[in-house]
Amino acid sequence: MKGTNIGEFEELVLLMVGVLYPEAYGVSIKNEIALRSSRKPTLSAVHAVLQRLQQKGFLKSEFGETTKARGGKRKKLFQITAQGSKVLEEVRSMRNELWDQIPKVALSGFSYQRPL
Amino acid sequence: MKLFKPPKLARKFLLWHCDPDLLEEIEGDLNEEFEIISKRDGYRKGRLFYAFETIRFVRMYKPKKRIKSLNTMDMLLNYFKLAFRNLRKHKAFSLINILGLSVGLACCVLIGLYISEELNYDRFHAKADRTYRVTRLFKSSDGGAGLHLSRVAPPFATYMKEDFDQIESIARFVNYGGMVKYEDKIFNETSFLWADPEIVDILSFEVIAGEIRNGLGMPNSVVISESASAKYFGGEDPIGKTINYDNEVDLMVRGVFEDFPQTSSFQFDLVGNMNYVISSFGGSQEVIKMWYRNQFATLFILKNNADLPQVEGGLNDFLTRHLGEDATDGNELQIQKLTDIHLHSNLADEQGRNSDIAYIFIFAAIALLILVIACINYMNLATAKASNRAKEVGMRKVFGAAKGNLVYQFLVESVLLVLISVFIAAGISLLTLPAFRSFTGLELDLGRLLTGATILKILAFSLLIGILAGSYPAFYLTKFRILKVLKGKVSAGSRNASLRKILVVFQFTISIILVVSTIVVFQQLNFIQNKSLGYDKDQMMIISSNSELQQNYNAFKGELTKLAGVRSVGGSIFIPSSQLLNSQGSAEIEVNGELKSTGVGLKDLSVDHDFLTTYDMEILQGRNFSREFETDTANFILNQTAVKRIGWDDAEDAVGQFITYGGVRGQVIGVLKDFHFESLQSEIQPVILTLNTRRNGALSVKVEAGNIASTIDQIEDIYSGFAPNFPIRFNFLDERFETLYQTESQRSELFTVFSGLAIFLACLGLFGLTSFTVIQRSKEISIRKVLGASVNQIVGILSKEFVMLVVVSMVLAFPLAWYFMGDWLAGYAYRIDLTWVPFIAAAIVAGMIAFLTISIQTFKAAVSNPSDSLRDD
Repeated sequence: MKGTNIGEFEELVLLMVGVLYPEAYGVSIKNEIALRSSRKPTLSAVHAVLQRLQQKGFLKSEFGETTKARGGKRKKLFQITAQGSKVLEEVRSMRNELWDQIPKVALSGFSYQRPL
Repeated sequence: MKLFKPPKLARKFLLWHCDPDLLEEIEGDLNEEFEIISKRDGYRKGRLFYAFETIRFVRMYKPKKRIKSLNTMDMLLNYFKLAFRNLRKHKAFSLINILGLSVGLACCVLIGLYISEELNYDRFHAKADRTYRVTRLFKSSDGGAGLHLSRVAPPFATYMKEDFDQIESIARFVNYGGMVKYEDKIFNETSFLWADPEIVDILSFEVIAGEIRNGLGMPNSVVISESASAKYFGGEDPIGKTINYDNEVDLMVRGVFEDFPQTSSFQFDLVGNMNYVISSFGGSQEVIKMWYRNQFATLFILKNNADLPQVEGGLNDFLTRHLGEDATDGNELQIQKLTDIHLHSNLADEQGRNSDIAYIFIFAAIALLILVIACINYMNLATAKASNRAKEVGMRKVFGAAKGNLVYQFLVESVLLVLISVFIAAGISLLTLPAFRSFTGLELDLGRLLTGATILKILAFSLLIGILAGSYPAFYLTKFRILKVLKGKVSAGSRNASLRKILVVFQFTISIILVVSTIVVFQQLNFIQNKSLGYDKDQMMIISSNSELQQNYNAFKGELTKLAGVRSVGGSIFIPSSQLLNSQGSAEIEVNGELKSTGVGLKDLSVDHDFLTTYDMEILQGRNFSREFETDTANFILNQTAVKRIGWDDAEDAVGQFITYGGVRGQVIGVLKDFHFESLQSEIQPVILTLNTRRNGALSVKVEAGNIASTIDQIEDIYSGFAPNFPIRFNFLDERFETLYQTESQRSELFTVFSGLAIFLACLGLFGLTSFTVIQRSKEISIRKVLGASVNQIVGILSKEFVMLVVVSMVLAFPLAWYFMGDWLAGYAYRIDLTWVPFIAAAIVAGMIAFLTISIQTFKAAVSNPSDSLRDD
């Protein structure tokens, strides 16, 4: 097992799979990311991440229906596995913990230069 | 709606690199996105996107999963097992293939041996790469090559050594055979060489005992070969023993050298010092003037870094310097590599058996063609069997065999077949080698072939043949689609019937060409051997003369003529069937009292008064030499060719003219009708006959037919009375002519054997194919019979196709054969005309054999009981 840590883009894709359920496949994920964030990932980047996440066991997939635009090729629909949601939870809780521990003053722009 | 199509090349690229498991989703996504972009931004953009994206997807490349199997070895063993089973299952096919291939390979081995022997001539000499021979070319009056002598006059060597810095060493040798005596052993040696001691520096003499170089340098010495030593001295130590040459001189054996291998153009048995020859000619002052005596083989080696063209360029100057301004008219000196002698030159009076590079090519081509025919048999039968095996292939594919596995399986099968054939071929060639050896008269050193390197080469070669022969069936069979095959949709190997037909036509074309050639070669040889020579060669007994007989030459002749069984006796320096070697250059004619050079090199033949009558040669004009005219010793008789070349209109013009030849001025007293003195391969030379009544090399005795044996006894009696110290040496002229064509007839017989083999192999293939077709069509045949077809009709139906193939082959083969044989015949001065006879004969032979081969199978099929093949359904 390749370790349970996930990267930022991996997390994003994983979240998108959840958001788009049950219609999460390469193109829709890519478009969703483009829509919701300012970044424009390439299709191959999304596919590579999906593949990696599946290998790590965070995603599972099955073939879905086909459309005319796809030239007879079926979609591959992704779902988050239990393990995947656990990882998302962990990331989230770790983040929350960290947020909670940041002193207010650190965020409000404390400076040593300026005397009180 | 406009239909958008992704770029083809990009898609191909994707198919190539993409993991097949992921292909569907990726391609689908790409298509979808492509369509979106194309609609939004235009087709061009879409295509661009597609192209770039396919390249970006390379990031997902994973090496394809291969069953990098743990069981490679097991699979290989399995392939062998399957191959063996298949060979056993199809016994007839295996037999035809193995028989064909092994015979073809055996041919290749034998011919290969023969060729390697021929190519290795003279290469064993350590300095062979810079050893050269001096030859002299006399051009005919029209500028073509008239007479190219392999030997030159003795002064050339002396002066060339002086004049050319580039020459490291030069040596002459000359053959004066004679009678050699050791104690009570007497042998007539046809080969006794007298050589300059430098010959040892040029050619590689391996010393066995005593000294060669120094031994040859000592006066009255001889060095001998190992076999000569065994012949004269048996087990005794030969060094220091004395032998006697021609009752003239005692020579002490100073050294023994290893016999030269057979692959040598020059054979040395007994070698004496050149000084003896020089002194018998009256000393070196005399010999240095003997520019006309072209009897001395002259070899030299160049210095290590010397340039041959420099020597060659200086030869014309050299001639004019020593022989006067017009010395280069009509003749030139030439230089020839030692290693070119055997295959690239065919000069007058070679010592050894000369061959021709063209024959090497011909035999190599034949070997290759025979092998190709055998390979074609395999391919044809294998593809014909294809339909039978298509189901097997289909099943294997269903069980998960990849295409590669099946290709391997078929290749292993054919390689195995070839390997078995190689072993059988080795057996065949070992068994036939002694016969082949005695047939070709060559030693054919097997040791040279049995080195590790060549064995590896043979194995590699057979692997190659196996792969070549197996490749077609392997790739053809594995291409079948599983479903089609299993549904029985691949019909009886019909898809490649046309290819098989082409291959059969190819085989038969080659075979027919070979048959035609064989017949033409035989016709030509027959023609040569039976052509009228212009004189009577039957019942002509030739007695070699010697020094003792020379003294009583006329008395001996007189005694012989008195015998009842002897019709007449003539003497001459050369005997028909040998070559006319002496030439004293060109004759000069007198025009109004002034000498005029003719530029026609005449060959001279010295004869006695009775030579022409003994041989029954026809005098066209003038008269024979006669005892009534004392001055005839200075007169000449010419042959027609000489008259024509000199430029006289006809025989009448020539008679009575005065000419100067070899420094002698005389009158032309007669003109002879042309006669073939030499082999019929060479053109008739211009000949000048001179009279010599005392010293002639040989006596020709025309004996009466019937009771020849007792006549010979009587002649022997008289002979021993005149020359008690020399055993008699004689033979018959017709035998001499037969030996003259020996190599030719050997070659033609070899040719026959190989063309026979080619036909045999082609028929083997045809046999296999017909039997296959008959099996395929057995149901059809049975139904036809049931419906009332006669045996003849069925045989006809089945044979028609194959007979047509043979007919097509003939149509192809005849023009080719016509062309090749015309070319070959052009090499003969006297030749047959190409007629249709050999072609018709070949057509009948090939057609009959092919038809017999086919009808064995078709007839069997036609008489079989229809119920046998129909009851299964």
